[in-house]
Amino acid sequence: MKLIVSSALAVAMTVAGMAQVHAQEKLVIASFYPVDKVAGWDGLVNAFKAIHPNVEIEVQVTPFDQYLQKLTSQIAGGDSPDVAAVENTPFPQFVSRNILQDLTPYLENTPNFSLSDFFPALIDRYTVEGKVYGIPYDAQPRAMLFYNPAMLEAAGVDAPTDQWDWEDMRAAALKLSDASGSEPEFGLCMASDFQDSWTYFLYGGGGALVDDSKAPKMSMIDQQPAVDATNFYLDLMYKDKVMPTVQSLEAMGDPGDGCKTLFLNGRVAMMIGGMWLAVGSPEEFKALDIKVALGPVKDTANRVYPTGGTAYTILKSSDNQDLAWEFITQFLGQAGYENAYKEANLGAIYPPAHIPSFDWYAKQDIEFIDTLKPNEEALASIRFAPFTLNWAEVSSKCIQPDIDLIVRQQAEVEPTLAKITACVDAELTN
Amino acid sequence: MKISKIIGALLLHTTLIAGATIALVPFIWMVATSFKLPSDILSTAPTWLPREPTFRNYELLFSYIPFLRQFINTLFVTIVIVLGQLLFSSMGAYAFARLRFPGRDGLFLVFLATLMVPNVVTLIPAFIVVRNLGWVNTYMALIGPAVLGSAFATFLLRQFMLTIPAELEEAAKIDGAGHFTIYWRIILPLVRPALAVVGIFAFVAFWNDFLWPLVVINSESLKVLTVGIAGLASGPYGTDWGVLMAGSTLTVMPLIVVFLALQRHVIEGVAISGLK
Amino acid sequence: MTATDTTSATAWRPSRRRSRERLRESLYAAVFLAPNVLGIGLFVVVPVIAGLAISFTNWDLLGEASWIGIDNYVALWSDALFWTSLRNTLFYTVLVIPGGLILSLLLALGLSGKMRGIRFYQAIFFLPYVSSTVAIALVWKWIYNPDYGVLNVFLRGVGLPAPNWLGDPTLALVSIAIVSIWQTAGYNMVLFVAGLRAIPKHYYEAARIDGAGPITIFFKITLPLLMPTIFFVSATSLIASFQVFNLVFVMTKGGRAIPPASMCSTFGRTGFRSSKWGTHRQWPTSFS
Repeated sequence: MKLIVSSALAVAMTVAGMAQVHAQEKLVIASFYPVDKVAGWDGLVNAFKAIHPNVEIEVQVTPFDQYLQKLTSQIAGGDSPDVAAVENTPFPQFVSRNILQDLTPYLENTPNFSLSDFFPALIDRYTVEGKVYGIPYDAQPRAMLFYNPAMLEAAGVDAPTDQWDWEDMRAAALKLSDASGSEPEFGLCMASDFQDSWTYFLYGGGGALVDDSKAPKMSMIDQQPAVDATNFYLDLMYKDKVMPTVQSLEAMGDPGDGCKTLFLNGRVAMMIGGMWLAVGSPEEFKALDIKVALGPVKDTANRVYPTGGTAYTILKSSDNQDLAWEFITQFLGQAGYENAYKEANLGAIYPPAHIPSFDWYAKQDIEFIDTLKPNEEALASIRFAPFTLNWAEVSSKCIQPDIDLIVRQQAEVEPTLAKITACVDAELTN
Repeated sequence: MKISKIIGALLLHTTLIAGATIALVPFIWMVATSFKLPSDILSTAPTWLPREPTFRNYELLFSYIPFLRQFINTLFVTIVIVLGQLLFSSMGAYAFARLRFPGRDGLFLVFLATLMVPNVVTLIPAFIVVRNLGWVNTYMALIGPAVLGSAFATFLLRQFMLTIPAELEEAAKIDGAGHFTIYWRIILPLVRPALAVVGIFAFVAFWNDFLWPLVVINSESLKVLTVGIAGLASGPYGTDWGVLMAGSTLTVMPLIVVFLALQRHVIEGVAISGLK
Repeated sequence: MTATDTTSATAWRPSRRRSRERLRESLYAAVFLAPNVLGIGLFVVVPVIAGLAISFTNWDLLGEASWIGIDNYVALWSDALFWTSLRNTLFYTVLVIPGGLILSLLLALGLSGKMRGIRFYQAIFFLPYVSSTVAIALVWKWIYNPDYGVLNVFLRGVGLPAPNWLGDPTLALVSIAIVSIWQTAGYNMVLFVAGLRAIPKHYYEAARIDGAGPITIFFKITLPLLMPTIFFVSATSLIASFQVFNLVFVMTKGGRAIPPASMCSTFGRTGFRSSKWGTHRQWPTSFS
């Protein structure tokens, strides 16, 4: 029995540790963005093949929800790709496990591909102790207030401006809500699940998850700004009733989709979310002539927006690192975005993290181009998830379950936030 | 007397129709949604039937993923696995039910124990095994691990075989028939209904298998339907329910066909063979 | 295989002819079992053992692994979430198995006679078993919606309290169990119909001649003769309920108030996004 255990483990361990044997001229790229709409991959791969006719390129596209599981399985099984998309949240763990190649030397040797061409807040996330481990692809802060001009006009509400604060938003939403009909109309909804929605209010109200997102030591969730922001969010749903409750949105399948559906069906006048909402449904946004303003915060002098985002990395196990680097510079430079734009549905691509590409993209003739400006402005005030090895786990263990109870009014705000804080603190000191 | 019978039948049918309605609702919703426009699909007051029926979702489905190719992949892989499981698991079951050999009960316990282990536990080590065999991103990765039989199928078939009276094969034994003959000519025909039950079960299970194909297949052209369709269900874009339901509708149809084809075997087969 | 079975070994007393017969039978058994043993051994048993071994390391799938003994298990023991999901899995199993047995047996009894349209009904009841889990989960979410779901509208209509079916943690398990029972009832019904048809008619006739009523016949004849089928159905349901994942995941994805209904879904929730895979990976292994 002992023999079986040890030999089975030996098999698992050696194979896991073994460097992967690739065909000499094959580049494997792992990504989670669906190929269906952003069809840029084809253009990109073909452009790269024109330069390197002997290189075979395999793009592995995995559904977003299962991407991380597949990638970790591949790495554990010793079958890793050469280039991989890594989201900002698991990024710290990938770095600490020594899986990603330090790209700094490559950057030094590639003068026409400069870090200074990228939005600094994004480069910052993927730099650890002065070394760059990932080249940012996009960042789309949850920082936009989309609105339906026809509905606003009908209710006699002035169009939102970038200077709106929470009270402006609440006042407008009150005028826009109408519970009298058989299908109630709402002033506002959040195109996200309850936890992301709560984070939007937490940051917008001057609160924070942790003391220092780059090197978190303690939780700030029990502080007064967090308590006030949480109460403001709850009041919009339960006291002012200007926002559909979390439960009713979830009953539509998924809260984010539910909000977007209500918004696009003219049942909600304003929607808070990120640029991806417009990228994903260009026709529908065009049909309603949807406009956008910067997402309101409590104090416009103090803006912070939560953001996600992805970088592309080269895995240490890759046998073709030079080629992989060349691919990245093509892909994440202007050529790549131009190729993607050509192939994409109505020119809908994600906002480039590469500034010259961003500026180029902003000049193109696309319907929702006005979303680019707020996206760019928000990039100056973004905050990523706390940079810890296991933030996703801390979040799902400490924050998610109790925030869930709070937003359903099944737990009191202050004691519950204090409980969350204690849990996060314990995890952070671990 | 007659009236009570009529009332009884009426009651039975009413209950059955009510039950059937509940069983049908999600299915109807799935099919109806696949013909709806996005603006029609999700609302807080859902309509059952599409307001303006459209083939948009089916057209998009075919443009988003190589549906036909993935459909054929799924069909091929599932059929090979099901046939393999029926053959090899019935052989294993025969050994457990009809042959005496040292370690039989212990081995059977090991088989039973593996049934309780969730797939996620074995995922990574099994992936490593498959990788070492050089099967990653090939049909073998999908077929190989399952085609040699499953503990579940072996277990079910053994239970069926144990109910077959031994006298039936005694005569054959006296006539000098070997174990292969007895297995193939006597036992297998008798467990035909059990094979149909196991076949349906395995067909549904492998047709819907998701986690394993997700991990071992990389190319679009080798993906199976569940994985291909999952790409429509999740993403930073949100979900296009219409397309997802169009994919689900087309995915479910073969399972219904398989059931209808095997229904008679399952139900009438048992009656004919006259097992106790 | 290392497993040996002393009882069956001693049961066969050696005699020359018999021992040759025994050897022959063992050889046949080896041939008959070879594909199964190879497939299950290589792709299930070896991985399970490897998984067990990994649970004694701190491997997170990404970094290097080192032995940490039983630390993972100690951590597990003191992890409230583990006990919650263990309790939930057991509770769920206790709900699903008897509930599923009774419902599918009732369906089978209703559909085993010589009535018109039986196969039609059977096919319809079988549909949920093959329908897309996502579609099923969505429709049931609407049915369960606390405010305007069909169920609560009905309950309010007849003056009964309208609970929050998926929002209340304990009730959520019951709600999901109902969906699961409903989803598999059609398949189990087919098994029961097959079992019922297999009971020879003359047993019933004999009982009727003896003056037994329908209830006596059910308990004295039908039920005992259905035992093999009941055993199957229970075994399948037991296995399925320990592996329930998809339904729980899809039904509660938006609303995470519900404590993980099973270990698998706990794994799904944390493992998919979590970094400390090592801690979570061995839950199911340590359990089985």
